[in-house]
Amino acid sequence: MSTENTEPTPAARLFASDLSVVNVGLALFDADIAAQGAQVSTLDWTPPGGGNADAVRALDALERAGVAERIEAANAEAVERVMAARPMLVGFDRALDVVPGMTPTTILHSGPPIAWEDMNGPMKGAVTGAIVFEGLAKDLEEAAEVAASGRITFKPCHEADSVGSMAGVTSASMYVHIVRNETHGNTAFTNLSEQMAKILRMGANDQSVIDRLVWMRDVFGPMLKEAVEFTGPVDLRLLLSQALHMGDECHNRNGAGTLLLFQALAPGLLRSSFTTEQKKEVFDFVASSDYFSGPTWMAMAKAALDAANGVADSTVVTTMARNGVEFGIRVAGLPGQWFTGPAQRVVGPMFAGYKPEDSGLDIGDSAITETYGFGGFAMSAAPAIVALVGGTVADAMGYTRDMGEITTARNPNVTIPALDFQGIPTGIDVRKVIDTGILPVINTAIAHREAGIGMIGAGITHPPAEAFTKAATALAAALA
Amino acid sequence: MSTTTAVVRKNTYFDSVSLMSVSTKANGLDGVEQAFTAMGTEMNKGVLENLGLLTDELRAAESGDLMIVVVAADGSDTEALLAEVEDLLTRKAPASAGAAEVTYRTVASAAAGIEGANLAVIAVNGAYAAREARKALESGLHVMMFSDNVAVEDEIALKNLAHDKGLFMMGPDCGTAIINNVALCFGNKVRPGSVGIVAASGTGSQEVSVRVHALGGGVSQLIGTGGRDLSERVGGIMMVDGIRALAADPATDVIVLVSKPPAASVEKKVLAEVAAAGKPVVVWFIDGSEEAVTAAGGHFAADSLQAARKAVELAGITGPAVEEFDAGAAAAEVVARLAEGQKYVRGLFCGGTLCDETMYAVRDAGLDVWSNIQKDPGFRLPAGSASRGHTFLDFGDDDFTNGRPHPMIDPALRIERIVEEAGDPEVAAIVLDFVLGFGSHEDPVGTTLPALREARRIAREAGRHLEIVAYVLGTDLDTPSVVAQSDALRAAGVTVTLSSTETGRFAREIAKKAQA
Amino acid sequence: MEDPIGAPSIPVLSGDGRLLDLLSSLRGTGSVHSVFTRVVNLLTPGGTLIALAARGSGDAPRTLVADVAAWSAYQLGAGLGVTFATGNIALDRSPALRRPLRLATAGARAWRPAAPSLAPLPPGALARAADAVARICRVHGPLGGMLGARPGAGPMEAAVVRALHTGRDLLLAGLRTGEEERTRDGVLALLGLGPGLTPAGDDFLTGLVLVAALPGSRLDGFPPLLRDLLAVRGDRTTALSLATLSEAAEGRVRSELLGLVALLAHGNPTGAGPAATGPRPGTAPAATPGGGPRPGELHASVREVLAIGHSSGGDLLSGLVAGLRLEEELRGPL
Repeated sequence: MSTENTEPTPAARLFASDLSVVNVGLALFDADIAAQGAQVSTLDWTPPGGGNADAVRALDALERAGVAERIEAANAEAVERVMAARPMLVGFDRALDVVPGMTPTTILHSGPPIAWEDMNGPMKGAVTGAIVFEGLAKDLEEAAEVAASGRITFKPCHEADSVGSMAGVTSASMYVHIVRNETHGNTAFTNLSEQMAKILRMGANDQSVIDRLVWMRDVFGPMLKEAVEFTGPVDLRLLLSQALHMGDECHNRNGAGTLLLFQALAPGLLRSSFTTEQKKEVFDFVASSDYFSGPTWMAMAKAALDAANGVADSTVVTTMARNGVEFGIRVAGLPGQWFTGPAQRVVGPMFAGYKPEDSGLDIGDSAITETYGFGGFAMSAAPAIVALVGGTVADAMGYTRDMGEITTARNPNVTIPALDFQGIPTGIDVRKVIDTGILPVINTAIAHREAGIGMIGAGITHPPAEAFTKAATALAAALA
Repeated sequence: MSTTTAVVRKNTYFDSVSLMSVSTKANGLDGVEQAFTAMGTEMNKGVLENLGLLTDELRAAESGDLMIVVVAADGSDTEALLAEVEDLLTRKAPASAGAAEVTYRTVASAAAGIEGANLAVIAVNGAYAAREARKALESGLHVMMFSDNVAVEDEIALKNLAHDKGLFMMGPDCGTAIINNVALCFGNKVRPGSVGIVAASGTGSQEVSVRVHALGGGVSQLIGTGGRDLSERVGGIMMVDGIRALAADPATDVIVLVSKPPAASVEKKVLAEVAAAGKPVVVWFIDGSEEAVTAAGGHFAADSLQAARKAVELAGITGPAVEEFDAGAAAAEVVARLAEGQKYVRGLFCGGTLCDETMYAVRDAGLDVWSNIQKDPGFRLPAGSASRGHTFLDFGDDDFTNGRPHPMIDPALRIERIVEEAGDPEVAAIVLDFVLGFGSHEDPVGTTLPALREARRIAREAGRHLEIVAYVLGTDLDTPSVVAQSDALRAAGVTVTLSSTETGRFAREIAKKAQA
Repeated sequence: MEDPIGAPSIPVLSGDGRLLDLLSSLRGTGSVHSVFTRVVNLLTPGGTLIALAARGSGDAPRTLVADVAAWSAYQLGAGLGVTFATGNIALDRSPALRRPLRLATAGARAWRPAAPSLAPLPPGALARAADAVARICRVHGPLGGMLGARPGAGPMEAAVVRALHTGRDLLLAGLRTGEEERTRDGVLALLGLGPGLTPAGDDFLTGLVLVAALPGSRLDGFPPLLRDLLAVRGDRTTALSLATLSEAAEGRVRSELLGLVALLAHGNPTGAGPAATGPRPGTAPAATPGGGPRPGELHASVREVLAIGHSSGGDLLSGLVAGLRLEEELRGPL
């Protein structure tokens, strides 16, 4: 025993301090301790993994000494990559020309893999619409036959370095964003916003929808392509952080982000080779919906998160995506594997005339925004969002705080003024989701459950706990 | 005359705008005549000197130090003002605008988010308790684990982890502690004082703390080690650390150890600590032997009352004189009223150690005793079986509590049993304990009284006198107080004993005489 | 060890060229001196105070502008270790964050400000410039320092403002008559005086000595005198002020202030104004036509300086205005 040691022991420190108790379990003790004048804070405690024994077993394995340290180091690495990524919008082009693996008969869709016959109404609507748009069928009826014929290659966007909002349906001649992660060299792609409510990605597929796709292919896309050739690369992380400071969360609320992106592109659009009339059409189209920049932020997040794919031993989530039937997640340490559970209902205010039973299940790759740390995770940056998704400003603050409990780091590049410039919560850790029982919060649109109607509201949803339990179990098998 | 107060922050830096806002807010505080923030440079101090505002503290400020000078109006509370200014300086921006108090979801986040958090009370289902305790220890919190049904392997791992970190891992399965005069889980309100208790027994340690209080002494700390701590496997990790902590604690003059007899190897380890403590250590190992304790330089106590008396005496406290209870004479009076065939004592207890103490007292008179906590399997009586001879039941033991709240919280099971025993013509006396204090039922006597009246009615109608003896463990400071609860019992014709030890003696005398 | 995918370090966007030169050969351990929301000050192994500013801050002497939104998110604290190595600076962070925060200086744009000359300005131009700046300060300048006490200020603020004015008058009188002793007393009367984090007296001295340090100034005896005085009496103010004043005595001040001076001298804020905020899409650098401040340009430039600190900008400008007036006075009618 050292006699030199003057540092008080933890016991001596305890005896010399005011008692401050963290109370886990019985609220009864809270009152007793408080009545004796001590500080006490009772946890809002739930059993880990919602009490699921498999989840707890997996968690125990992942927390074993030796394993835990490896995971910590890997997660630090994974999240550093995500935060260090600098996604730049470098151009727009036809999917066929830039998206890896794209063929004239490939159709990308959102979420984890799904066969044609298992797709829900809106996704089927979008697929048949795209088949008609590509000239692979003369009408929707024939398109359904083509879809079922085996001639079409269906693939998740995520498996083609892409993301797609809602149904995510992307076909060969659609124009996509090209977002390059300057730090790590990978690239991500995503479709253009169709702006309206009655659109292909929501399952609408009548002639007006097809006509708009044709215009986007012939005018909107090419003009955007030329614009970026004039402006040069656009730093999306910078614009994202500015948009958050201006009150967007960049998933459901995009007013500021769209202004910033348009401000960046406008000089290039003006200098493009199109007629003034066409330019006016494009300006009007962008002005018609705040959602113009929505897909852009998704591709930005995808480009950053893909940099973390394959970091061995990491339990950081790199994908959250839904195909309308299943919700799938992917994890950095287990590249290429999907862990799924049933897609959930989205709860929130509906447009006039619609009822909750009209809503389809959660769909789209847009949860990539939450995976990066904005959207629902950054709701405290966008207090005005509460009107759209329901809840109070205090709830919005609470969501960001709660997400801090299941993430690995705070991203100092993207900050929230109302939280004293705290970084957004980044790097969802499968272990922490199981441990705390807190599921990621996702802000999203509600699509009508039937094809052809489109968006009928917006709200909040969560992934199924099952997806995280499966991921934890696979991680435990692989790492422990 | 107004007074100057000042805060000097060594090498502390604030953004100029927030510094300005502190200054503006300080000027707006009630009782502030003027407030001024500036660096502690010669020139600034010169200006203050010319105004007659340069205090010694400000004079000592250096160029890199921030001075916050507050001139308080006549008659205002300068200390309070200073505290308010300090608060302005240290106040963090609220984490969320308008949100109420933060509720944490995990131990780790609470430990990180609550400044000064130092102890976790864990009272979740046993299947999750070990995990939560581990998280707490890893977050640097001491742990009081109230949960039971925790695997002994987990207990050992947790205690080793705690030991390595110098932290306390109290419990599982002994829900008593008093830390810095705050009772955690089950505990009584006792005077702060110089007696430190380390105990592997919940009600045993409550009894010692309450007796110490009644004798005019007070408790510095009560560290509950958990019921299995002194087993061969756990090896007394927490008791050893507890003794060392109290040996080093300047507020503790005397240490009392409470436990069932430890495993031999563990006893040796613990007694080595007793010898090394450098303070008087009173050892009450229930049913333990005197020799080893004395050899280690400890003070042997044969019962809880003696443990408390020795501790108070060694602490140099002269308390109120306590009248010795003549158990023999009192028992003779009781036995005189018994009918033919009334031979046995039935003890129905909430507190395990209280049960032990009375049971051993009867057994030591050479009588056979049956119990659900009997060490001798030949005399063990599982829950659900009818009483036999002298029976002593611990309703707090796992086979009774299984799935139910502890009888100290929910006395229903025992209430049924009281009525049942009253119908047995062989029963001479029913002995009960009532445990007051934090965590316990808010009126244990009141909720049991109807059953006591019913029991006496049954006996009376059968032409018998049924003696009901009760001990109320509690202090005058507890709510409800020991006085009120005892009075209510006496009013119902119950004989109220004044300590656990006395209860045992009285039960023994009744048993001896009734069976004779 | 090289990270195959790219080291996760924060790029330094731009920096004081002199500092970058110094850093290129600097090795060893320093420490974090102080942490603010947008600026972190470091002490180099040699004890020099240097600043790390957040994206969007203007360039300044001894300052690097790094690609971060704010420092508050990085959990830095005074006293943390800082390792200076080739091409990067590594800041220790709280143990929870595991890795040090690495700043890569390699790609930083070097800021090498050239002090504009006052020599070619025609008679009366300095006075006109001073009047114009003073006018804007009167309307927009913050009170509480050189510009006067705030309405309803307590006796302490009033006394400080009085002392500031006394010091200023003493110093200007000394400079006007060339009496070194009086000038020295004037400096000492101002050094370290004033409320807040950066004493107003120091800001005033900074603005004044900047004018004196410009090529062609008639006050060229003042910078060496101030430097000598700082060398022996530097303990009379804060480390931050000391660094700022030493640089200003060489004509090196933050870009906002230098831009204003350049605008006054030849109508063109070369290399001034807020630093580039990273690749800003679609905005080609606007060519500023030469020949006198455009309408509104002077106003914008003064407002930028006024935005420095809480009242620092106003105090800097007070010194600048006093210097310009003195310069005009000393030149006399040609």
